[in-house]
Amino acid sequence: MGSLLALSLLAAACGDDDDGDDAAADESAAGGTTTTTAPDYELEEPLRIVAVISEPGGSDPNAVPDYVDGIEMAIAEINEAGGLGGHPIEFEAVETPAVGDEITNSLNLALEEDPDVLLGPVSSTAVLAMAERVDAAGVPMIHNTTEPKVAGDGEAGSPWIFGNRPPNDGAARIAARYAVEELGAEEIGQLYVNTAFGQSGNEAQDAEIEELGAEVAAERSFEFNATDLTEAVLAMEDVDVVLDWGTPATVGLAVNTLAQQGLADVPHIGPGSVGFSFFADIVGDESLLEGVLGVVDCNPADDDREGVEAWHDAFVEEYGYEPSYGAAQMYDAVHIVAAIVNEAQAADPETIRQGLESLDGHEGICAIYSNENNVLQHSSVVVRFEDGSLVTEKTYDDVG
Amino acid sequence: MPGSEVGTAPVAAEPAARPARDRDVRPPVYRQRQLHGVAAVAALVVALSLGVDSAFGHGLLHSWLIYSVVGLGFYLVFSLSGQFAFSQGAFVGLGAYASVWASEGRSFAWGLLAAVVLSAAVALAFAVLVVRSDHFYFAIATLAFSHIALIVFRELESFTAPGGEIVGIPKPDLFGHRFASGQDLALLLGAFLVLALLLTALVERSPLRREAVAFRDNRQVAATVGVPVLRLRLGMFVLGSTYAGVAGCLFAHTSGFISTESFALELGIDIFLVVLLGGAGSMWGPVLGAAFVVWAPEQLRFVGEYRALIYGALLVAVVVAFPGGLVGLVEAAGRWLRRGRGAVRLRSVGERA
Amino acid sequence: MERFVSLFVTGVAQGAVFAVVALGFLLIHKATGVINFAQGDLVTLGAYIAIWAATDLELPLLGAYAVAVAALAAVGVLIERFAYAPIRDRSIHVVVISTLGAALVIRAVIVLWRGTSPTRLRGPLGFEVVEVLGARIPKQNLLIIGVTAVCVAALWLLFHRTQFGRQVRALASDRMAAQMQGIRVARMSMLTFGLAGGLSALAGVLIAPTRAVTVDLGFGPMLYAFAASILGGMGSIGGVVVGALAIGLVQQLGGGYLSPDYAEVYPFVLMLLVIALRPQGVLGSEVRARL
Repeated sequence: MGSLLALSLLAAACGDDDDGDDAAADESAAGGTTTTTAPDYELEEPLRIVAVISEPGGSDPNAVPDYVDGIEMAIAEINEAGGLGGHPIEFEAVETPAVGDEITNSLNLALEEDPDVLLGPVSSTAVLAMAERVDAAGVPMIHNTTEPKVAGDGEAGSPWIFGNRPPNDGAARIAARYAVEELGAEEIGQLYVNTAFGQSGNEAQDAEIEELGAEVAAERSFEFNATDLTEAVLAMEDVDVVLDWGTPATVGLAVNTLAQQGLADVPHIGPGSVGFSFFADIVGDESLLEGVLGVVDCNPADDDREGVEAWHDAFVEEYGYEPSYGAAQMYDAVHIVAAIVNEAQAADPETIRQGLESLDGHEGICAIYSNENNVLQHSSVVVRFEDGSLVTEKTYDDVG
Repeated sequence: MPGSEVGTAPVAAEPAARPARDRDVRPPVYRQRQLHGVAAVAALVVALSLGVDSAFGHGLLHSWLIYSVVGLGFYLVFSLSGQFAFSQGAFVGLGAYASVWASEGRSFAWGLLAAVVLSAAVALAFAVLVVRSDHFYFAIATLAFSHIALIVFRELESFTAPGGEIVGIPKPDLFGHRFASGQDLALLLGAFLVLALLLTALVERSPLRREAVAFRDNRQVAATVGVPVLRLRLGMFVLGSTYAGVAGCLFAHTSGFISTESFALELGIDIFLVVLLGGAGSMWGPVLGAAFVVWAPEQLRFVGEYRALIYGALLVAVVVAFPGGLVGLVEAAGRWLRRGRGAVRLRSVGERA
Repeated sequence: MERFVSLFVTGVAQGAVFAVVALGFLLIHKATGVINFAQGDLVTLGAYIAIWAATDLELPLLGAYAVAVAALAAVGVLIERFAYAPIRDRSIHVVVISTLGAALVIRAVIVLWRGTSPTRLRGPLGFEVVEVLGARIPKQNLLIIGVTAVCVAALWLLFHRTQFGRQVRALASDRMAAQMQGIRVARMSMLTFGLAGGLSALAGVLIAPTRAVTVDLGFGPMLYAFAASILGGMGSIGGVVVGALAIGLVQQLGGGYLSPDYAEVYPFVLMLLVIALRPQGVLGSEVRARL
């Protein structure tokens, strides 16, 4: 019975997304925002990057190819321009489940690859399960999660662990702030999934709503695998805005149910997953996307900073889909590491750790990165859909 | 890694020359040779924990030992008293949360005690509640129980933690020693496995086993000939669930991190596979099955995206070809070696009508 | 009132889908005595085949649904031939693992074929709603209820008015005697697996338009179908249908009027209570499952 779900957990599979293997991405595309023109020096050993990321076809039903594609695009660019310190960057990807015992096995395998830096994981559970061992191993890690427990002052924080997403509570607060300040909401409805992600987001929103003098009129939580939200949506009847901290599937379900209950015109602000290309597929009808907003880490499809559009177009050309913020962040992570190596002319773990620690104002595709409390990114973007693509509404630079 | 070596342990024992008192319930290889087997497992654990030098290897070794303990618990519940329970995973979770809760600021021993007491108490309460249900209903009741337990773990924050996620669980300390290295942990977990095996062997050697098997195979008849059916059934369920609770306590303090996902139905089904693959008819089955369940998926990483497909097919192949599980395979190999001829009829150790 | 109507209809619609899945269990169980653990993944596979037929083959929606039902009937027969027939006389454990393995293989094939990203199946009625007593009821929910009603009626006729039905009932009540009377057991088990496969696909295409489609689509319905079978006593069509409706309603109304946080728990608490107080099921007379 549950078997299937169960068995599929065992079903990790290594990436099937090698369509961009030696991603011959246009170098020109990203030249604008990154500084990786190789200075003339010689590294003793090549830089070794190992990714611990769940990949499509593996055991994580929410896995997307964006992350590894972003990494491979950046590495291909750098290697084509001559590599770092006279060597091409070496790269290995170890498929990692999002939950379960096997996470530790994946990390141990990744560590056996002798990495100078680890990229990933992309799930909170995975980074929590890995934290202790990464700390003990003394290898810097750039994970792509919003997990507050692995921030510098978190219970599982470590000088070796850095995150390149803005904190979850910060992004959740932005949703509330946008609702009150930009949409003029007074009565706010909250939907959230009853996991640590949803609960902490909900609490942050409560605090923000109170600070701004608005009011929570209705609040409903549900299981991460909820398949019917009629009851929850009916509770949202009289609110000005719905803040929805759910999973991609539940946010999509909420959009449909709101429409069916005649509440399609109530603004509906979701979390970062709204920015992934499959989100539009979940919502059955494109017209329903009009009322949906999302707090995403960045919006490469609509960003007028220099070089972003060129990068976006090059990515679409190479991989054939709209890059999410995750693709941009992992692309940036490689360039951040490359910049540190070029600066220090060394590629050992301790050098990279120090470089990440003192990171200040690195211009990337997704954001301008600086370290604070072992969190590298501090900006979020509120987006909405227009003809099926994401349009930037407002950018916030002070997210946690 | 530890797979096949473990299995050879019980089989290496010569067939014992004992009266064929209980030939029907026990194939001759196992008759009263459990202590040799336990010693062999202990020696193997020590050898492996000294021999393995990678963190990856130690990780697999730890998983194997913990899964073996849970599997042995399920062996008591399922193989001996015929109760089809999907609740083992939930009891692992209960043990884990109870132990973290009770050992906070105190010694690991308190956590262990809490895991034992709480999982035994909850198992007893549950078993009494559904005492009238039969095979299939009991299975579904345990399914419902695991589902409810998971939601309670998530919602009951004062007992667990927000979202059921706990980080930074200290490594176990006993007798003033903290078991922090991979090797120390393997030895500690191995000691618990040996304890679990000894206790299981005790059950195996006692009249309890015969009564349990009689009850399993025909409840009405067992009851009429004076087997204390109810006490047996409750007793086996409580004992087996307590094994799971202890394993949960060990898991929490070994991995240092727990979340509710670790204890979902998936775990219950993994445990089910541990016993069925290993061989439900022998107490060595779970030990072998655990090795397979932990080891095989890792060995299949190289096939990439086809891993799930191949693992599934492998599972079916093993079960269909060796109805007695891996133990049956090892047993057949052992007989083949002893008799020096190839034509061995596979006897199904684990089957029952 | 609107709220009650809304929750009530949703509950009935959800229950209807559980009933379709549970009827598949019932059929196979009656004819062969086993529980097919691959049923949930057959539901998922049915939805994915319909998506494939509608998008890749560009068939009209009803054509795509028909393709899915036909394909799944064939898959049901294949499962019977490869995962059940060869081991029919083995112990129940072997059969359980074998259907589990079949399920795993189906799931792996779906992932390889369609990927893991959530997707969607269009419904024939889109997101249209009708007003009933002031409540906005999605037409898809009414469609689910209607199709299920037709399906239940057809199955009842099949069970009680045809040779096939008599044979299935004979097998269920006394396997050995039925066999000696010359009922062709192998053919019966193929037929019931095929029929159950088709029912799974039907459940899949009914439920898929109401939610995001992932490889887990069929898991929840399978779990609740188990619960429904328990409530119904695993005996009669009527019992299973009532059990399934009870599950759907308890979930919706419990979530609506008690505490929404525990909506997922109510069906299971109900199930535990039934098992504790009336282990033979609310409507059942005797437990005969081989498990």
